[in-house]
Amino acid sequence: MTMSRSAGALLLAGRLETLLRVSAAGSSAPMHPNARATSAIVAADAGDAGAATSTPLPDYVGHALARWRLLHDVPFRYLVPDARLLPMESIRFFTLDGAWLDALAAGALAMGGAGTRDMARSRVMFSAARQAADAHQRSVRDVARGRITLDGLARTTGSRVAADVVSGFILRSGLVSGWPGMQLRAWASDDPAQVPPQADPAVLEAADPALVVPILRLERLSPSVLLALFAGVPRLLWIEEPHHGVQYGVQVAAGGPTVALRNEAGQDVGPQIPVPMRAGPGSVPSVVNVSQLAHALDTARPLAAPRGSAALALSLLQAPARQRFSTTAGPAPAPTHRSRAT
Amino acid sequence: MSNTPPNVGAIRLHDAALPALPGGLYRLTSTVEVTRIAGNAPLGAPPPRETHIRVAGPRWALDDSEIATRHPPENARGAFWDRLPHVSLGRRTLPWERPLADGTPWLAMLVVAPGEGDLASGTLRGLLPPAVVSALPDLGTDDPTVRVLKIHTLAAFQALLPSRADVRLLAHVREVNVADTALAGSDDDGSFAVVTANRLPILAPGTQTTAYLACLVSLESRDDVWTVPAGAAPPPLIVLASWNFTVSATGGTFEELARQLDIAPFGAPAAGGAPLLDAAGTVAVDRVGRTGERTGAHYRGPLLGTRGDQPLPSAPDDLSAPAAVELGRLLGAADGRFLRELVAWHRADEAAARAETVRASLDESLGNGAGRERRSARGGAPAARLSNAAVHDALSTQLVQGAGPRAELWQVHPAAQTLADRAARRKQSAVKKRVTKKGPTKKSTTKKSATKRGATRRIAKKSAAKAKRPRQPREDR
Repeated sequence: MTMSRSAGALLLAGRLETLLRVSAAGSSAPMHPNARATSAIVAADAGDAGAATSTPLPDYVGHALARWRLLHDVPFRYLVPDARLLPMESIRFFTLDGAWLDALAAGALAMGGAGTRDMARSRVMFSAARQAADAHQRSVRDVARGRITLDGLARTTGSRVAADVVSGFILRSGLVSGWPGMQLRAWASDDPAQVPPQADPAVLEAADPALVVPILRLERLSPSVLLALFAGVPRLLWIEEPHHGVQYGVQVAAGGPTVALRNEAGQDVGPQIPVPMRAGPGSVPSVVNVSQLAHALDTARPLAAPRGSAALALSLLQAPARQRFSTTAGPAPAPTHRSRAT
Repeated sequence: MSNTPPNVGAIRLHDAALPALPGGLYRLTSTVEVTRIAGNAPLGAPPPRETHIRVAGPRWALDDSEIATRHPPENARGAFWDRLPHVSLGRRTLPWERPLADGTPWLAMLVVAPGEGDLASGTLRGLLPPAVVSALPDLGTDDPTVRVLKIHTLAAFQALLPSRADVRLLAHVREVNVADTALAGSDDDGSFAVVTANRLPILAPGTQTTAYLACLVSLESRDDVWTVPAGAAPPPLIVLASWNFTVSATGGTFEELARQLDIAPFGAPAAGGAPLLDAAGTVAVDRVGRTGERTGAHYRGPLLGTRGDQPLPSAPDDLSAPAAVELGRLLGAADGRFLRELVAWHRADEAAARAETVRASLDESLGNGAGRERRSARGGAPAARLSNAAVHDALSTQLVQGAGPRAELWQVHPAAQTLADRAARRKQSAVKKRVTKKGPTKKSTTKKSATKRGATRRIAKKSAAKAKRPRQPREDR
């Protein structure tokens, strides 16, 4: 044997060499002592040092990192350090800070190793970990919803996945507590020609799937705070009344309340039908005589069988309210969601 | 009900979703029929077997988690006067789980204006007439605590209560696509039962606001409510859920709230307020130092109101990077599986890298191919038969194994190895002591063993000296 150093020492030397070369090439800006560890890790990421490791990261590690990068388990105070940043009845748009999330991931990955060798490996694997997290990012919501399991995921490949710019909003409003389960839809275009205001989202999506900006996370953080994250920066956002709670109501006309006569597809056919009210001695105001209303609808548009509750509901449903938030016109990528339209 | 969810944005309506087995107590009787086959002795049939099954479900009260949405929202104030109040239940079969004899749903919504009725709570037998209690099936001797709605006059009761046909028309099932909503995993099938009231909560004439009470009432086995004789007191109804709301002339609806939202990029202050963020995007936070003095610090969270990848601020009093790293450490440490898999990955990667290094150094020292031929030429027959690769594999496996397992990171204290060595040494000396005691009885000792005995005697003396000290914990752990 002509080896002058042990196998482990050779390995360590190799790793350190990679590190030193990379950090020498990195910026030489003065560093805060607490931030030094992070900077070294992020600097290692700049070079493609991830190729030094051969064993792929376990799926669970990639998934956990992706969850944390989507702010799962991150305490609310870390997101909104000052209550004035999120006043009542406000919506605040943001993009996620990659540098902050890298520091978070670096802290988590530092947990696994004990010695200098493990530390060195943690650093060189950082870009591999970043890739694994990016690859898992789109499946986090499906796993959380129970749509797929982690074991069912295909093992992440070594190919680099295009990292999404994650943007989103945080909404603090009575809308969140009063209308739980709001429908959200984010569009990549705010051109009315491409996304008409009253369009059917399913039709639009079928025509051009690229128009839809996928939702990465949508969760109520507290009864009145909603956090949403998107894979990309939407230019148009719809917030709709929850469909499972779409209101039941009447149109108020001069002659009294009326309801619409609709066909099976929900389109208005024929005139409005006046709503019969209960009357009689000692009666209470504004109570609807429901069976008479069903009978009136049956007379106006007979069905094969007398109307049941579903057919009656069809006439009483009010179209859900849809609030649109769009970016200002122009190529500026800054999320200045100032204009709005209904 | 079809299995495919409706399209995004579409709603599917159904008259009812009947449960396979309505709630209640069931008796299951099973018998075995015995047929005699010719030539065999007849056997008696075993006695019939009875099993009891209780199909349970909400009966006296409804948990908040069962209710997906109430409209109008609880304690809300707004222009709800052209909408029928309703409640969406996550369990789609709920209104049909305890039906009346003719299949009428057992849930109905009543909307009560002030002065028309009140809520009361107490025990079931204390609040409801005995005839009603005895009509409830499977009650036994239970006396649960319930809340009831008492309408003050019979005329108002009859005017408010939907007829049997109305009750049936006012409950339906709605299927929606929940892919775009924040319904958090719990009830994700997108089917909801909706129970609607039969009353429009209008603004009382001449007033600014009118308060209403919405009640989801139980009609289980309550055929009596439609046949109250004139002059009798209105029967109380069991309330499963109730909430208050206020109707005003304008505002308060979803459209209004959404239209009036304060829209801004993250970090912008409330309209008219002072700016909150400095040039680096940080916000001032309080910090208490180690010595207790209060100092200011700056922090920037992961949410950026402006785009562009700026590095984390690096001012000496900036907490952004340390806070993120420390939070990452805490999150990692809190996730047991994450730690386990990460440590296993560290080991696997190290073993692979070590094997690779060993192999490379072996290649270097053995030479490639030429060395093998040289050695076989000198007459090493077995070496000639082994291929170079096999030698490498065998050697590197041995070397990697010879490196030994590393200490369990999370279970073994680093000092454990030294302690174990010391214990092993002690054990050795104890064995030698025994040998020296027996020594003189043995006659045949060679010169070599005599010198050895001399050595052991010295050790024995040492250990005897040690033994005079107070006993220490020994290796029998």
